[in-house]
Amino acid sequence: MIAYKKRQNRRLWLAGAILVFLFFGSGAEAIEAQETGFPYPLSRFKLRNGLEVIVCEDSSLPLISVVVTYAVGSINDPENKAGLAFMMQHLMFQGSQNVGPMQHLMYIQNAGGELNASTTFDKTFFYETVPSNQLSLVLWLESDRMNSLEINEAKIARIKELMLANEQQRSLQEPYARYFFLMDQILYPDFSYGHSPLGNADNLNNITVGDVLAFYRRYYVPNNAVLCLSGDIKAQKAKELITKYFETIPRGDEPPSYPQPDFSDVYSSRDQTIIDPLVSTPALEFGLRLDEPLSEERPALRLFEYLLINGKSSRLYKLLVSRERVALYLSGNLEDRRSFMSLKLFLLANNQIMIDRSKKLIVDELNKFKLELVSDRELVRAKSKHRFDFLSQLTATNLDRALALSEFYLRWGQLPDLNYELAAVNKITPYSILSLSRKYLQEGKYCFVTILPR
Amino acid sequence: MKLGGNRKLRHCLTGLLLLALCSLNLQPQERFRRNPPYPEPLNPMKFPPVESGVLSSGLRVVTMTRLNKPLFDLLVIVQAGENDSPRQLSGLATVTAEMLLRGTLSLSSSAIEEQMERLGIRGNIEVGADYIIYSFSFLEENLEDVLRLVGSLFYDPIFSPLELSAVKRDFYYQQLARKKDPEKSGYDFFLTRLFAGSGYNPGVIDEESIRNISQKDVISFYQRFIRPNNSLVILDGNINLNNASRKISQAFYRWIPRPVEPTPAPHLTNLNYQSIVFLDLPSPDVSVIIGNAVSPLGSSDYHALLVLNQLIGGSPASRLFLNLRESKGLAYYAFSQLSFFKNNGLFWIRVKSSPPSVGQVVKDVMSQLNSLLEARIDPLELEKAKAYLAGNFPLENQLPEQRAKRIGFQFIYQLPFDFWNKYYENLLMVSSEKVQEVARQYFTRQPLIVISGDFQACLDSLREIDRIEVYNQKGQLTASCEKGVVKNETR
Repeated sequence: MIAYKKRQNRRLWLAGAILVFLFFGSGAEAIEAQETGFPYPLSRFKLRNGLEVIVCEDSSLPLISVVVTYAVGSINDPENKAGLAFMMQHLMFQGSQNVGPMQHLMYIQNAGGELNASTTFDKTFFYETVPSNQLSLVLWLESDRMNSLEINEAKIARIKELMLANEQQRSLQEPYARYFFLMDQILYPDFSYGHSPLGNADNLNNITVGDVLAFYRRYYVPNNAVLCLSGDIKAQKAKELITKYFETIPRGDEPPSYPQPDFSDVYSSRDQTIIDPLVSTPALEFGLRLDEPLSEERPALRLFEYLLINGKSSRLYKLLVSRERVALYLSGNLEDRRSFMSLKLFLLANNQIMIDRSKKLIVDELNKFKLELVSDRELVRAKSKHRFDFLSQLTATNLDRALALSEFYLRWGQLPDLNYELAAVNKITPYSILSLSRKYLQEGKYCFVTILPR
Repeated sequence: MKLGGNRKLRHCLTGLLLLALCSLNLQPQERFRRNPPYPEPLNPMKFPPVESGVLSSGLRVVTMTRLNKPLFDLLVIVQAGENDSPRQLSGLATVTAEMLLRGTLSLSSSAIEEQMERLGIRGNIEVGADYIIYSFSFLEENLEDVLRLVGSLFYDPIFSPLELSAVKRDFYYQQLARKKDPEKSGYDFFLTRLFAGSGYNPGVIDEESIRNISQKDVISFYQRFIRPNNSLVILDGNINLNNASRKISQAFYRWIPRPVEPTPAPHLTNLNYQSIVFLDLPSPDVSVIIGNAVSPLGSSDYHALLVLNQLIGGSPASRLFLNLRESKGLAYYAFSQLSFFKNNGLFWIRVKSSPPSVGQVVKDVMSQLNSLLEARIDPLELEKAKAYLAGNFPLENQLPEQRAKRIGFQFIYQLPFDFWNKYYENLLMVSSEKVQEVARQYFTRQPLIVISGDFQACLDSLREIDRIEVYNQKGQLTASCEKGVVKNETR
């Protein structure tokens, strides 16, 4: 009897506590202004359903960009269902409870605005830029599809058809694209990291309405998203509008944790040649996976990318394109996939002799980074270019800024501190590059794929 | 009593809890979700304050003051372009413009590239019929070094023969690639036909003439046209006119003025074109270009033309796209646009379609144009077009470089000083009567119709058309076609 009473009392307390929470503690977090070294006021808050919000105030133009980023990408595609995350991106334009199929597009275009969406390996972005008097319209549209997307068999069939047709056209127009995914498969020998986000006919046909609904309910929930506004708006006003449109959208289950595969050090292939009748010019791909770089190494890695491949004065561009003239075209970057990074290069050459020569020059140049200090002049150039690109991305347009802020926030759980980020890169010395090169540039891990026309 | 009190309290709390939960999640959707919200009043875009002055060399300096931004934008606009290239040397303006970045007395081409990256500069060159625009974005702290470097490009170029060969080669291959694209080559052919006999080159380049460009031609173009007294520098950043003028005059002081004789740019007339022109080239797709001359930028018809363009084909929500693509599936896309040149404007439509649909596309576009002459424009459609244009204007001017370019056009095309700031005001005043008046003025005559693609593949679909002239890629007339009957030209 006593135990029963205690239980009853506990229930009463619990009910009381819930009520107190619901009536007094149910509002969104207070707006938290952040000192970030930005030329614009920057703040963030969180709705009680878990939606993270970032507001960047810039009234220089009567415009606003809205970016909704869901922490989901091809990495979350179930096995044998590659392409589901990308399909979901398409389906988000196919209508929700109050917005007809493709009406999202028409509403934005009628307002003179622009919109788009993109899916990366771990994020899906939806974004609009509109005149600032149309902010409510965008929030209404985005909240409707977050709250009540309408999915059915016919819509899924239409999107599958569209994705397959696009893929067919792409394989003709961009014949090298499939080899980028091949390099991913070699560097990341695991389904979640290594498959093509575009899917393929077999995988797309495996996807059912049930899969799509489960995916939507699991990942397209406010507690798995970041909403970023950048433009002609005050934080307080933004909060009022966002609370109105988003706060009653139910929180979802906690999204699953980020996949962390343990890749083997042995690649399936380190140097392969493929003959492809669809390509007209010989091409070479280079890849190198960098496992679990430390966060304090990242600024030096960013700079390493600039020294090696970014810009016409970078080492490889000068060597392969300007001086030796073995490459007709060269591009590359250091791709960041959370616990892994990969250095990727792609070049076109006149013939196989040039391809072979390029391979040797790339290896020699990478080896030089392990043996010699980079010059101060090179380092100054790399730092300046990095500084320009970094500031340009964060200050050029509202959309670029909102995308960069959302990406940074999802990656690091905080807003970027401009001064800190730039100072970290500024501190890099030739010795930092040398030690980093010695750690990561291991010749035994270099991968090459040569693609030759028939 | 105590227990009873607890029970009451429990019931009361449970009821409140249920009520609260219901009010949160279980209620039917909120009323505001059912319909899109009304927009707030539009906040018109204002351009940043512009100041302007002229240095003793004749170089005009324009500043657009922008505070608290870590980047600067610099535009150098030369008031000469492809129309100033001699007729047999089309492409000379473009090649000369590029050569300015390919070496000075003290810096090689690769040293310029390296300096630009060291100073955090991103650069671009755009060559039109009437202008060359160099645009540079860079880090604020490097302003003086950037001005020094850019200044030296204009007063110290060396035009090395080796670099000239490289520039010509790249440009030649770009032009060859352009020729293979049915839309681009169709548009070039359209411009050539429209401006034929006027003596004006709207920017069409014959790739074979690139081969004939010599170092002497480049030097001559530079000396005749790339002069400070024929140019303006626009600086957009945290700087006022006095400071900017002082720094620019120091950096560009060795750029010597010379008398510049402008190349004539005659007014085009809106003509009646009798036959359709077909540019025969191998391609699975077909492009249709339809258009005619309209009044130049800054004329009293400008804002009505913008609205008219928006109604017809300015965006995917316009008539052409909805009709040809969405309703009938005849085209991959269908848009219209306005292009402006010195003393002239063009209204033109571009449609990408397939051989079996091309005849119907031409018919439908013409009927869309004719409907604007006769049927009254729905006021709602007119307001939608104006709302789109008003809303889209700040998007077209998001980048400092885009705003600076518009200010540059004010000078090149001698527009009123407040032309862009009065955009909204003038747009709102456009009535359906004015749009229809402009449509009648420019669409009553038969426009020039150019189709580019594989003629044989399109023939079936074009049998109803009275007369078609067929040209090859060299611009030679090869055949004519009357109601589907082809007659080869023997000339």
